[in-house]
Amino acid sequence: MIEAATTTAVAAPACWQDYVQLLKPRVMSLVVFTALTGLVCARTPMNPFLAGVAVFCIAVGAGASGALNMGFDSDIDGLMRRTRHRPVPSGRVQRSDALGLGVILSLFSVGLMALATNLVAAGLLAFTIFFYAVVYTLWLKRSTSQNIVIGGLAGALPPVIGWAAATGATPLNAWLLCAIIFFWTPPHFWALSLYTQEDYAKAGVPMLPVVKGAAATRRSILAYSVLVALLALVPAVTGLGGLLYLGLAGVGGAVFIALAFKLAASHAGDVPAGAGGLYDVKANAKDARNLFAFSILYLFGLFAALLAERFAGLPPLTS
Amino acid sequence: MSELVPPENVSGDSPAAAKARRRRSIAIAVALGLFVILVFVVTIVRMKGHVADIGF
Repeated sequence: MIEAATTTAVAAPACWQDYVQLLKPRVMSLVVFTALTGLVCARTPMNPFLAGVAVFCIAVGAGASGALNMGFDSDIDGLMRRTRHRPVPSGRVQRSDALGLGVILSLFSVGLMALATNLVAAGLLAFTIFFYAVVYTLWLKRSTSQNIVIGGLAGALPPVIGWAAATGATPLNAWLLCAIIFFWTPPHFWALSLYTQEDYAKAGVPMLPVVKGAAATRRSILAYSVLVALLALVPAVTGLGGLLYLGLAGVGGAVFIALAFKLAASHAGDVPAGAGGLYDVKANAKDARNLFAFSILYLFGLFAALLAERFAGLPPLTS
Repeated sequence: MSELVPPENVSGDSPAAAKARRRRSIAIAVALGLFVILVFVVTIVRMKGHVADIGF
């Protein structure tokens, strides 16, 4: 009671920036980028206005997932340094308001997607929101060290939704883009968790380094890095990517694997990060930090190459 | 004659909280209005496409 009264007295009223933060704008921007790539790579004429609405719906759907995630995760977010300043754990936004916003935006985005494009795209968008908010956030995240492997499907589906919005179908090439993001997700997040594992342990989130240890995590990162680097070459032979894409995928993949080997040979994550800033580069975590940063550049480069080739009218290597 | 309660005092919120709630309500109203317009425009654009498909 006293605690509740104190919280109410201390927490300032929410401002619009708090509601924007609930929508996870940085995640949203990556989702929009990959969805747009899927839509453009479908190579199907589409009314530009309806294409814009489709991308907008995917962005709003991603925001809805973010709001639901922050509502459901407010208990563990309050325990971690990285997330304790979010609007819900800091008391600026009520948990029920975050969940309400998530539900309303989900309904709006899926309904508008069905109206503007087709039921396949709307169904996939609804599934993605459900998978992230319920299957990943409520179940996988708190119960298995493979949480981000399986849960990564939610982040990998936007190119398929974009493709479906343009064509009403989901061919192999759409799922290939999905697979690249799916297998990219584990090395990306495990590299991050190697230097934030204390936070996850405190909140009881069973991330791989917390459950299996840093050495096992570094080996898993290497395995997935090799897998994603090889998989990223496949679009060049399925009529999706051209020379620019192949070059970027080849060079980027080689650097990705080299960084993963360097990380595997390092002691990153062996010693808990300890005091200091959460994102301060600790001496033993530098290799993990390098791989984390490069992984973002790598995925962005792959999808940007596909977009650039399409807009520049460059032909794919095979048809 | 019963006394009327000013609407801003009904919830017993502080002036800052009442102001924030009012701003939120206006934002929701504007968002709803934009959504309705968007649905209308999308419907018209899709109808135009279908009419064009008939090929008169």
